[in-house]
Amino acid sequence: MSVEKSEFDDQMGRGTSSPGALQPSVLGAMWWGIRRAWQNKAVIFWLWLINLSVALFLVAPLYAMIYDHTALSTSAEQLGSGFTATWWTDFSFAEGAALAAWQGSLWVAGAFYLVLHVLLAGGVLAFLYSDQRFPFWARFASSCGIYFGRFFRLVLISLVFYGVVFWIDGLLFEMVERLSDNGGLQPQAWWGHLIRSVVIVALFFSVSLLFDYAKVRTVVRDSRSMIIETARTLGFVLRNAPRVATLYLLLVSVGAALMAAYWGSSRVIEGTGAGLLALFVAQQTYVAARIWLRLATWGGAMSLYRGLTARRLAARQD
Amino acid sequence: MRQAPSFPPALLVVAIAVALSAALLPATAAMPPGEGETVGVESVMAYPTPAPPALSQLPEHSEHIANYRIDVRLLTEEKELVGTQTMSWTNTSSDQIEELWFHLYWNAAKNDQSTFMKEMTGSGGGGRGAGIEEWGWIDVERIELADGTDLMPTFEYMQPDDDNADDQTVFRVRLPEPLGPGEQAVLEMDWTSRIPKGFARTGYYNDFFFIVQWFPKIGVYENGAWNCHQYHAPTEYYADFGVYEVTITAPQEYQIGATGKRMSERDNGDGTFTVTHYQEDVHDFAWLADRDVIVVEDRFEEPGLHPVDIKLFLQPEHAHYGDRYLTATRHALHYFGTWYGSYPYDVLTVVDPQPGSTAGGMEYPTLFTGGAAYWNPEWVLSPEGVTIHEFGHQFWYGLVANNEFEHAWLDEGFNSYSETKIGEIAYGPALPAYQVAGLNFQRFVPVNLSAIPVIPLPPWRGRGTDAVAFFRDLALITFPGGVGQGAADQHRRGYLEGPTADQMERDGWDFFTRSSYGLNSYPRPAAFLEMLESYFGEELWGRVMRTYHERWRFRHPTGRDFLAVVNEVTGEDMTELFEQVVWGSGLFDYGVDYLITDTTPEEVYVSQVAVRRYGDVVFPVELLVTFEDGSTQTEQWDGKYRWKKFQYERPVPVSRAEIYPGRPLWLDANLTNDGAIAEPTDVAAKRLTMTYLFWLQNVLHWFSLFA
Repeated sequence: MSVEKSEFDDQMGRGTSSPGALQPSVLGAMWWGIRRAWQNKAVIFWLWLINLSVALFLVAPLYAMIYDHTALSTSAEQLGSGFTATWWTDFSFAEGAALAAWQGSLWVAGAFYLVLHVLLAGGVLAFLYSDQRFPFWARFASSCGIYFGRFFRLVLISLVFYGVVFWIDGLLFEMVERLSDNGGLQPQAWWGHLIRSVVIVALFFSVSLLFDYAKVRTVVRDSRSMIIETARTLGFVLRNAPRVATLYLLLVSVGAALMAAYWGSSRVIEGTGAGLLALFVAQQTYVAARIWLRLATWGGAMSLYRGLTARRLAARQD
Repeated sequence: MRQAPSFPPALLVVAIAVALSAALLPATAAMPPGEGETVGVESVMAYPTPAPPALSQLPEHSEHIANYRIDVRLLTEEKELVGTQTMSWTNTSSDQIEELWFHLYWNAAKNDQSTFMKEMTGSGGGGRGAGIEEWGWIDVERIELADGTDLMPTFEYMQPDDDNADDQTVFRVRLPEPLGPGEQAVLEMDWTSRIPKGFARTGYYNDFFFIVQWFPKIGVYENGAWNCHQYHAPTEYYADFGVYEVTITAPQEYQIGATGKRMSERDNGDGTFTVTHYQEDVHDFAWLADRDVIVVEDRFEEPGLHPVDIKLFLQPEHAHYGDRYLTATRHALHYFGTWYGSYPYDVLTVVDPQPGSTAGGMEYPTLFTGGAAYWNPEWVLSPEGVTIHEFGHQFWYGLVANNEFEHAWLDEGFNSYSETKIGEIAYGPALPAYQVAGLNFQRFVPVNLSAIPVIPLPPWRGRGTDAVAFFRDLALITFPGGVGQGAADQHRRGYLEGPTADQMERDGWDFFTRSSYGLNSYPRPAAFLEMLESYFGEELWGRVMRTYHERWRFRHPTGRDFLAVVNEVTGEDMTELFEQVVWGSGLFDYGVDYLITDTTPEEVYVSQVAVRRYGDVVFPVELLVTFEDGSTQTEQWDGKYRWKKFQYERPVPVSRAEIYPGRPLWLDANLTNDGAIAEPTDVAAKRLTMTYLFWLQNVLHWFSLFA
């Protein structure tokens, strides 16, 4: 009995035992994830603030460039209420070198942001796993430190997987080209490339999904070897592919709904004068909603993983 | 033209693509009739204004200088043409002509030593010969005068442009006696051609044969010499007007389309059939033979315009494009006819070429080719754009037949100018296209994102980054409503890619780079015409263009001929501007440098406006100065020195100063500084930066998804 208890602990960890934390059903897991993310808006707030701060830092030089270019020009009047291709042409040619340098800096910023989120992911997942609500800064910070190295290794491993996906894309591309006489057979080429895209996108999603679960497992099981964890996660995902994929697609559809909602509101809000502020609020709400959805995705994955694992262990005990 | 399939994966986008294709494809792919069938369609289209009468009497016919009667047999298995031709050529000069020069264009595809092929490997690459798969050539076997005099002993390949002894795209023969003014030479020729594959928008692809520049074609004698250039990679053609009667024999399972009117058709009883086409007042003849093709017939009729029988050769997989091709053709017939003069021929053949062939997007008298991807929704103007453009060449190249070797801007530039205007009127401002999985998404992207600074992405295995670009730019859907690029904006943006590399008018093969040739042949002259229209006003400029067309219909104008029409109709001498822009390569850039105001102790405002010439091109400047109480003052400056200052002492300060307000000079390299305001404002910076901020936040969020 003690052995079984130990195995259970090993598999399930010692995280939250709140009602619904272990959900073998897709809808239950999704709902738990959504609620768990929503319960702790402070996390969302801080992640949004980080996102906004980094973006503001990056966009500041652009503001200066646009200001210099338009502040004393009649074109500012047009741009205050619309957009003119003429101005854009002038701006892009006049500020070409500066814009190129600015664009280059985005890669650096992106890499920084990625690493920053590798660090924060440990704290966020630990929070999702715990019974605690914010503030729990000490544990958040220590969790960031604990998992940073492991999650960074997972990112490196995931790059191999993404690389394989692109390699498969190349193979499929050549195959479609061959079968369609290098595109001369247009319907074959069109459908072939469409199917190729669907396959590749599905694979791309799968890799993303796989490493979400790998992180979840790492936190739940406090794993150390990321290669082994990746292999075991792969086994878990394959065994439970329908549930895992359904949960993922449901959350993706929530994301699509958010995007549509923002798109619709941006069409309604007049982006001038006071409307500019309203548009800004809509934009920031959308960004925060995307962050919330990211947390909900992790929460749902955690709940589903724990629920399915518990059920499996229970079945084994029986 | 083949459309590149392109792209790496695009996550969510493809899911949208799949849904869209499922939802939209059945609705647009209603198949007209089966392959090989010919059908008629109704033509109903109303325009707000009928065609105005011509400003002067339109010439009804050209001179018939070079006339051909050709009998050709298409051997589809051997990929050969066997031809016999009788050609008459009239000496319309005052010179004694001792030799005749001819083009043999297909010899450019004979080997890799032709000038054309050598130029292909030079700067720029690409071009019309890219991807040649099988060589082609033309062998002249017999040339005799009508009296039987054999001219073959005098046959000699010539290389007037570059002395490349390996180039065989031009030959000459010597006449036994000089041909006097007004006299006519009649030559009989036999020749055999090997049809190339994948070369210069001609040749064969599977069972599609597109036969252009295919027979020995005489050059143009002008200014005391033969104008008969070798075939060059970037350039097109030049020939005299005449009468063509061409008899084509082909296997019976093929359909034939050709320049001119079909005069007869007969079954030879041996598995072949023969058709004869006839057309007067043209300077070239093109034809096609295709086995699996739908032929759609239509008729364009509109008060004040010449009725036209339209024949559309449509690939079966493009059956859903039938109406779109025809609608675009009718728009073009209407607007070109209304603006410049009625299309004069009875027939027009529109060819949707077989995908994979190199025949797409090219013009020939009374026949042109379009082309499109397998499926484009209606908001993506393909094949409409190429249809209007290539039809436009019926006017700018076909009727007003400038020398395309030397003055490409006169056809490509004029046509780009006309085409984008029609596109804008008929279909609205152009929006950038994003192709993902063969689908275009341009209407989903309401600003010109192709030009917005984005994270630079390396080409994905050379196939572009369109899908990634789309996904990346999705976040930028922030501007309410769509903002497209007007016609002038499109041209200006293209021209500013390299505004000073070359002058506009120059031998086509002698530009700094291939792209410089393109830039100076298409967007720069189009922007120049837009600028002149803006300067003179639509009405006056419309008369200039119409007069130019009417005067030079069925003739060979040069840039100076166009200038003469501009000067005559507008009453202004624009020679200096043309010298700098057409035959010069200077930058055009004026701007208001500053607008400052001080107050005197007597409460009088002293305002100063400085206008500068930043570029090289000199042009008179009109400046509208507006004061705070709404009063205005217009200033004139000859624009010659580098700057000019204007000072005002008034009870109110100057609030704004604008160069040609509402009439942008589209060649100006920076139009933003053409208008200045006194009080700085951050409204544009705030608004645009907010858009970028939001975009950046989304981009950063995508990065975090990999964490």
